[in-house]
Amino acid sequence: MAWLAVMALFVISGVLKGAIRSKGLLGRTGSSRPDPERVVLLFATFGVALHYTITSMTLTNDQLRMDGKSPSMPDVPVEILLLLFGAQSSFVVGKILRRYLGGILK
Amino acid sequence: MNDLRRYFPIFFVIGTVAIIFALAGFFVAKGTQAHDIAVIGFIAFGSIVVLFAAAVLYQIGTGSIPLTGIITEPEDIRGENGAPKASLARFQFLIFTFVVAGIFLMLSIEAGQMVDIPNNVLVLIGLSGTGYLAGKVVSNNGIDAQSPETDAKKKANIQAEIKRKKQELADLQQESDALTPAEDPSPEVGE
Repeated sequence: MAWLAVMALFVISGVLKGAIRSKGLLGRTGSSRPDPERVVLLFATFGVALHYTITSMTLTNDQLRMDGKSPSMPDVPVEILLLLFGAQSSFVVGKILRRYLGGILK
Repeated sequence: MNDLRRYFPIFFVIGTVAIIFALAGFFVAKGTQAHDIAVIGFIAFGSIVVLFAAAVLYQIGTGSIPLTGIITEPEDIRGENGAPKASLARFQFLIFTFVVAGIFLMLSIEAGQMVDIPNNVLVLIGLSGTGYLAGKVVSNNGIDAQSPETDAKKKANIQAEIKRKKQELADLQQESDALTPAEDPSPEVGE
C-alpha cells in the first residue's frame, strides 16, 4: 500500500515537474489543438476513477461482506461501464477517422 | 572502494539470505512448531518481496529507472516539436491500475483476507486495455502508410530532432565549460 502511494507520488511529482512528458495528451500526433473526443475520454476516466474510489471509501463492513459471503470489491454499475465504453469508442473512432479521413475532421 | 561498490549487490543478497537462514535456524533450535515455521517462512518470503519492491522504488527514486516515458508513445511517434508525445490511453491505464490495485489492497487489509474482484471491474480494466490496443493498431498502421503528408511529417520530426540534439549539445558544452577550468592541452615547446 505504501509502495503504491510512493510510486503514485513519484509519478504525480514527475508530471508536475515536467520530468514525465505529458505534452500532447489531448491532441493527436503533430497537432497542438486538443481533440474533443480526447477531452471527453479524459473527463470520463477521472469521473469513473473518482466514482469508484468514493464508492469503495464509503463502503460499510456489511456491504463489504455482502450478506455473509466472502468479501468483495464493490461492483461497477453497468451505466458507468457504458459511459466509459462510449468515451473509449469515440476516442478510437475519432482516431480512425482522423487517420484515414483526415479531411472530414480537420 | 570501487570493488566494494561493484560487489555490494552480491554481498547484500548473500547477507540477506544468511540472515533469513540464521533466523530460521534460531527458531528451529528453539523447538518451534510446524505452524510457527510456516509463519516464519511467510515472513521470510514477505521480506524478500518487500526487498524487491524497495529496490525498485529506490532505483526509481535515484533515477536509475527513469519514469519519463511512462505515459508517452513509443519513440517513433513524435509530437509537434519532435519530442515523444504523451498517450491518453497509457495515462488512463495507469490511473485505473492505481485505483483498482489501491482499493484491492485497502479492502483486503480491512477484510483481513483477499477480496473477490467482481466481473465488472475486470471489464473496466479490459475496456481500458482494449482501447489502448485499438489506438495502437490505428497509430501503427498510420505510420506504415506512405503518403506525402507522412513524409513531410517525418522530415519535420527529423529536423526538430536535429534541433533538439543541437540544443542538448550546446547545453552539455555549457555544463562542461562551467565544470572544468580552461587548461592549455599542449605545453609550449621549450618549457
